[in-house]
Amino acid sequence: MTGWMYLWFPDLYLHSLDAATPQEPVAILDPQEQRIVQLNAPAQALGVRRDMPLASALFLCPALTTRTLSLSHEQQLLQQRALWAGHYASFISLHAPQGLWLEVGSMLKLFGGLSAYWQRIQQDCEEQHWPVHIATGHTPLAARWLALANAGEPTFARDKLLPRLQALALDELPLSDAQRVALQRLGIHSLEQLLRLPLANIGQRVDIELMNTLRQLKGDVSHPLTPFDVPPSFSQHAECLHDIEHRNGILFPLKRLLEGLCGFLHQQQLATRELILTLTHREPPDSIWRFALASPEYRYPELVQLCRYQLEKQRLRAPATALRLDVAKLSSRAPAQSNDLLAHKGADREQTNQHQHAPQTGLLNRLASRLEAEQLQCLYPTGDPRPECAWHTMSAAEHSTVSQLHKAPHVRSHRGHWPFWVLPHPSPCSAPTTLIAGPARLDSGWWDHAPIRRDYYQALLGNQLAWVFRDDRGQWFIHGFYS
Amino acid sequence: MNYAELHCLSNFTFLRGASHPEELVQRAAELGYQALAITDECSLSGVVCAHREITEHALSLKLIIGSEFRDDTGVYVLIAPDRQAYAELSQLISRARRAAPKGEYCFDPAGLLDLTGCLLLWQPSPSGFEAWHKALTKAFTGRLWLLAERTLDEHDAQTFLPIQPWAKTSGLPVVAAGNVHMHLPQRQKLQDCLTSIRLNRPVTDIREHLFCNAERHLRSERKLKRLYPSDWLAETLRIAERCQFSLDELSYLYPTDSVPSGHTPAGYLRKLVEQGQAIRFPGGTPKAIQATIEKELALIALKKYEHYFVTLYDIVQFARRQNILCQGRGSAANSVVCYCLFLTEVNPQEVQLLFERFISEERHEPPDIDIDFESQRREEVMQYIYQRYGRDRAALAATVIRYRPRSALRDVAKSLGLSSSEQEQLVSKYAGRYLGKEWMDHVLPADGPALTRTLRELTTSLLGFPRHLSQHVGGFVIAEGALADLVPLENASMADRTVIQWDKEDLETLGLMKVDILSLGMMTAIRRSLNHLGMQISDVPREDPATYKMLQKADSVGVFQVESRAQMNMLPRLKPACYYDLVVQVSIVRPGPIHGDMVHPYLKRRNGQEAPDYPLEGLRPILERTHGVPLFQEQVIAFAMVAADFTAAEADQLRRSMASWRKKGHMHKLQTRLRDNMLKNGFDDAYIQRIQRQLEGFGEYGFPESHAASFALLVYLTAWLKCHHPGVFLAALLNSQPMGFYSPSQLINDARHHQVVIHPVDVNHSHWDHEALDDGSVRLGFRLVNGFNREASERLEQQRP
Repeated sequence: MTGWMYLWFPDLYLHSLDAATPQEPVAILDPQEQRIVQLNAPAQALGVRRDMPLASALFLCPALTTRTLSLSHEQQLLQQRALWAGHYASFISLHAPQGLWLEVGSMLKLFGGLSAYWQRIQQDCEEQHWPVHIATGHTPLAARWLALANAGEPTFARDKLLPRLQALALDELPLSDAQRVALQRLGIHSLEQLLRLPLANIGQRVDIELMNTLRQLKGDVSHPLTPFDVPPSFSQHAECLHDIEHRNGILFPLKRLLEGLCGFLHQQQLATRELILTLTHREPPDSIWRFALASPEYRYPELVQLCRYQLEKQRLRAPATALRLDVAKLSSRAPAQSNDLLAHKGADREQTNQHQHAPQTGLLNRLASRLEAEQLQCLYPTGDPRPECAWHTMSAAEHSTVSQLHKAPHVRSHRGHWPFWVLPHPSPCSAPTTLIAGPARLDSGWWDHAPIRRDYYQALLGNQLAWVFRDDRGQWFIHGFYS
Repeated sequence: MNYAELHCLSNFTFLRGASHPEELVQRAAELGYQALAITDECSLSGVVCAHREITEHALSLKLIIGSEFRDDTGVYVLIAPDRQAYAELSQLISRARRAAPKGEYCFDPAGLLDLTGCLLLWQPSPSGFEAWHKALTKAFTGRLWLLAERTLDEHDAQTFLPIQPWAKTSGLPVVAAGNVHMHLPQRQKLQDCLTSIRLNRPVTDIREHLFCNAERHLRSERKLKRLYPSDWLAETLRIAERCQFSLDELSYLYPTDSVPSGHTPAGYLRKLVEQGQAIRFPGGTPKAIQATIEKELALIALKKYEHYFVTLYDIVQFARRQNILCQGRGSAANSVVCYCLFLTEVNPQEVQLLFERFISEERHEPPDIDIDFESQRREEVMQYIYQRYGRDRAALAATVIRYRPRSALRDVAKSLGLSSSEQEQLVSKYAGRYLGKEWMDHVLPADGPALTRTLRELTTSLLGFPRHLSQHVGGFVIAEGALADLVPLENASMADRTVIQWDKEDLETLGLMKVDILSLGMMTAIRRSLNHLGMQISDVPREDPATYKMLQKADSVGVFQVESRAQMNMLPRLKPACYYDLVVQVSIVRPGPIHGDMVHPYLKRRNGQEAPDYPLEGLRPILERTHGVPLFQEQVIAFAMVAADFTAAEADQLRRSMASWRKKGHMHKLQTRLRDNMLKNGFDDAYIQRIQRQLEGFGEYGFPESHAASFALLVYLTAWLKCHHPGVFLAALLNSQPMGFYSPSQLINDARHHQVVIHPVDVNHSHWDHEALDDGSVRLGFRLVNGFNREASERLEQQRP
């Protein structure tokens, strides 16, 4: 079943600047005509209107902050939205300047039905402070028209959608001025009236284009949509309304970029181990901050958290005017995927390890981002029979490389009943009087020229159960205690 | 000492066992063990070595034959107390091996339940005990023990400690053993190294897989008494007492299929020889020859070798029927009997019988006859043998692939974590040198840094370790009954090939018959030439002066054996003028005579520049044919008997040890004896050293006179063809490629020099094969065209006008 959803992001550009909420009036200007195209609530309150010339707007509201719309940046913003939408659909089509089509029908099973799906999207956008109009439709155009009028309802059923469509007023439809005038002259004020006219008639009386549009709306002819192709690499930038003077200010635009990044990583089934943040200042050069991750990551909350920690460690050289996010060290997420889909016999243990692995690496990344590299050391079992060499520490980065290359040797937990508390260095002692268990003989370690020959026993020293050994010269040592 | 070790792996459990079977039995005898069971994992490959060592050194140690099997239900050690149980065990191993790819085996405890003779020592895993103890107790009433092995490491908790409670639950007796992997604890390093080679990762990467102590060695009595209760130790002796089987009991029966019913083997053989005589000596058999035949037949009858000869006769008859050319060689091949049975074409009238010896009465080993077949058609002969005797009665002998310097260096270096470029560097230090025993000093000096010393130590012990079993080039073992009753069979890497678990030497030790079905590319070329000329080998005129004249000019490109640079160098100096000169020619350019500096003295004496001298009068009959210079392996052996007072058995040992002299130490004993005795008999030191070097040279590429005689015949035949029918011979050579020393272009060039007209490949006239035309010219065939195949060629030939 195919079903279409249209997401319409009103005032996309304005919202990208985080200008929707502040108290000061903000307006976005058309690049050619110096007219207002987008504006926020305070500006509106002061009487500024859409399509108003800049001069009039400034007359009404001298404190109006304006930005000129950059078409290319607007296009990029829509792309970022499309990348984010990649979480929800595999077929996405951009509809510049502010709309996205998602093919939804095939995804519903995955998300547990249309209302759940709808809700997830709505929730996501709310959390990210993106106002959105959502609508579904049996044809792409139906979805779009309903979205523009913000009259969507989570259904694909034609008979439920039709009344809503019919109720749309002519003003709410994206028609050209000429079409609108021609229809008004025919005495048509709503879509219901329009749809009642014979199509051929419309072709004659208005124009062929409208006729075709209506055919597409009904689904009589196909509506070709260009699919959005995920770019091979990720590099997106964000602009700021005001210069960012403190590192804390970076987080908001950065989060917007991370949404796109996570969508990108999701669609490509990749994870990253390095984020590269480039800050543009009024004076060159740009600042380049590299955030290294201890293990590959792809989840939005984790990445946001990591950036938060990393930002705390940074200092702004000068106020930033814009920022760009790139990623490097991409790695495939194949293992995690096989986890979900290909859980086969024999891999059970590995699988549970993997599951435990996920939160662990999250923690590791967080720790790594807060501490200096040498402050964070991982334990690594070596499998060596000698207690002194049974494990060693390594930096987190080294650890993740090593554990990617080899499966860590599992520690022989049953290895001769080693106690939990092993002394870093054995300490000499007198021959114990009460041996409880043993001997366990260790005679190994020739490969690094520090071989040992010892007989280990469990012995009572006073009232403590100790792990003692006798070396090949007959000297006794304590090497640990049992709890 | 009151102990018998019943669970001991040798290094024939590849990459687990860290001691040779010989070392294990020596050490066990030294410690005073009553008995030692060699129980390699699903294999009996090591038992013959152990058996031989015990016999040769008359050790007072009983050898027990057994085998270990492992799966996740535990470790199973099966022991064969008698001949019937041995057959059972051998069959079981064969089944397990045959069901798995080469080098692996399939084991299921359920397969044990119908064994009626074998004793079972069982070290169950906890789940295995629950699952199987009832069934096994029932199937092995009075033949099942729980195997208690204390290794003083983390495994004890799993395998040793539960034994006592299990014994109580099940009422089974317990027996102690050592899970022996090596003869001395010092071998643990090597054992770790083998583990790392097995897992193909450096030692430091697989530390969790290493044994954490060296307890898996043959322990002393004091130690055993401290570790095990005395009744568990005593139980080992009770089990050893029940084991009465010895490998000597394996009475091998020759296949009798080839003797028709109603004939005695001796009568039938005589009949065949008489039939052959009529063809071979149409003018009646000369008296001397008749006497030799009688003598040979009597010896064959005495040693009961009739079936062997009849079997060979049968195989050769098949080849003759199929028009597959073949030629026998080997110690027994150049006898009159073999000539009459068509095993060889070497006419005893032409060559005086080289030695009286062809099967010596003292030697307790089967006669050795190798038969060379045309390489392109040998498979037919093999298939015939399989088909005639059946797959369960015929199998190829194994060749034990052992660590040689290069492979040992590489594997040890890898396991010590050297990078691949460092490994390469190390191996290249060795490569291409013949440094003698001192090569190790050049590659890894004893006074080097610690890593070098470790490398040296491990490489030295790893040298000569068996690595895997491979199939022998053509040695077939054929038995009267099921072969798997005698020796386990396993899969070879080639599909549909089975090999037995013993090699040539093992077969010799136990007196099993082996038929060597070898392949020789030149035989194909000869057969093609003769077919073209419509001749038989016997039709070729002998002692043709023109042929010898050609050889004396070193004009020998394409001629069998004497076409190499070294041989071409020798031809004008030796100037062969008769058949026997060719025998000398093929044997002289060999490591033996060269290392022994025997070449120049021989040439000088032959050319009359120096008088032959015989250090002892007794040596004259041995050395006369070669002007007083020992050239052949047989001569050196006979020489040892006369000049160094070796007994026949000792001399025989010398001969055999030459073949395996790389197992160090072995040769040394005999060398010292040879030297002492020769000194005593008045030889000077320089001469003795030359003889010894020659012996070492033979060790690498032994080439006895009997082989040389057979090869010389092929040399003569190919030289004759080249001399009189160069075109036919060239076409045959080209059609038999790849073979020989020279590339097709070199062969063609050489033929052009001999005025052979060569027609290029012609789409209208060529065939797939090269073709000798009636006018002596040669038309090249399509097989020279790159990327062209036989089918296309045939289609083309059919379609053209």
